[in-house]
Amino acid sequence: MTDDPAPPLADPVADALETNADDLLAFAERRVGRDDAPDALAEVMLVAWRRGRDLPADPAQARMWLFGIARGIVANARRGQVRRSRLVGRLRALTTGPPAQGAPADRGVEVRDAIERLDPDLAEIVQLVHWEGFTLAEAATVLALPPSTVRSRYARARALLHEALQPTRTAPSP
Amino acid sequence: MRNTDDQDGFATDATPEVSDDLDLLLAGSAPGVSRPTAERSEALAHLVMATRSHALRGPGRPRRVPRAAAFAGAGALVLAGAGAAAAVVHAHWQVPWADDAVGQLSFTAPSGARCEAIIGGFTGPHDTVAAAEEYIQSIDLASVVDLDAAYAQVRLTSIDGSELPPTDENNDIRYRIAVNEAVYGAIATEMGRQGLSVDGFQIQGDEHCAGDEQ
Repeated sequence: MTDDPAPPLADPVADALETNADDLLAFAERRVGRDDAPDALAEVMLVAWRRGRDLPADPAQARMWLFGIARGIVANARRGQVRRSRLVGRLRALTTGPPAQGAPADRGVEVRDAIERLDPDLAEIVQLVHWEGFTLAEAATVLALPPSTVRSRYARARALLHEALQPTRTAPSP
Repeated sequence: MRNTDDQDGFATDATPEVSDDLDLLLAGSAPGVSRPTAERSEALAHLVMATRSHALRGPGRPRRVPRAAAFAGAGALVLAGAGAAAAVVHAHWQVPWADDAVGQLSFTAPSGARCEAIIGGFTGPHDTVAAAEEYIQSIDLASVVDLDAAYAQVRLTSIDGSELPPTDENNDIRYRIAVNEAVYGAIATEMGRQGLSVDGFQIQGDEHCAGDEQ
């Protein structure tokens, strides 16, 4: 009887990064733009590799852990502190070249402006829920906040957006 | 794209049709992103492995930090004063490491002055410096440090050891020191969590507050 060689052990960090790479890239593109997003994503991956021992075993928790890292990276990138990485040349060429998917640039501007006018703590929850598709409970994990805090902030954000967007939403169709 | 939990109680609002309308607007407001293609997937997979190699090899990383300035560093406390830029948002950082600043933080001093600070110039054990830089760049500094708690711990004393009166100026100095202490404390805590030594590890900082030039 011969034993088959054991398959190579999958690297959980690689698995988590590859599984979530598209969503992490989209997250970065929405927040820092398509030019800087590949650099931000490279930073997220570097941090993930260096902190791999902290990666949760559960895939859903791992996803939120990665987005938690991405959130910090993006916050610095927005302050102009994203590092230019030599590792992303090919990816940048692919993300900046083709037309974007999603809403055209002139759609949703007013709504995005209304979100941007919110307190950043409120805006971030709205973006995580409505742009990234997180539940409120998941957003609480990403933000390292109590779920009750996220729920109350989300309710506050919705009320403010409801008020701010009233003219938009009641405007007659052309 | 909205995906709230029913158990969170937000799936239903007071006016469902209004809520649905708002949900549609919010979901539709997401900025456009690049198109996922097989080529892009391949590039992402390549990036995963390239960053793995890079992370294992260690840093040697070019940076792009257009503006900067932070505050004082533990063990080498340097408070910005004379020569500070007039407007906080247009501050011209004087420290030589400003272009390589690792982190930035905005805060309001007790006098009400808006201040901005940068940290950088990390020195000490290589592993600690690298890990500290990664840590600062991966977090939202303002949400991690507890400035008010640090402020409550800082005492400002004269050379004879007596506590200085709580004037606006003295309180602001206390707060700047507290910023330094809080940031350094956050880093030291994280380094301890990672099992890294902070012996000989120092950070530097520079800060600008509205009114510094007066």
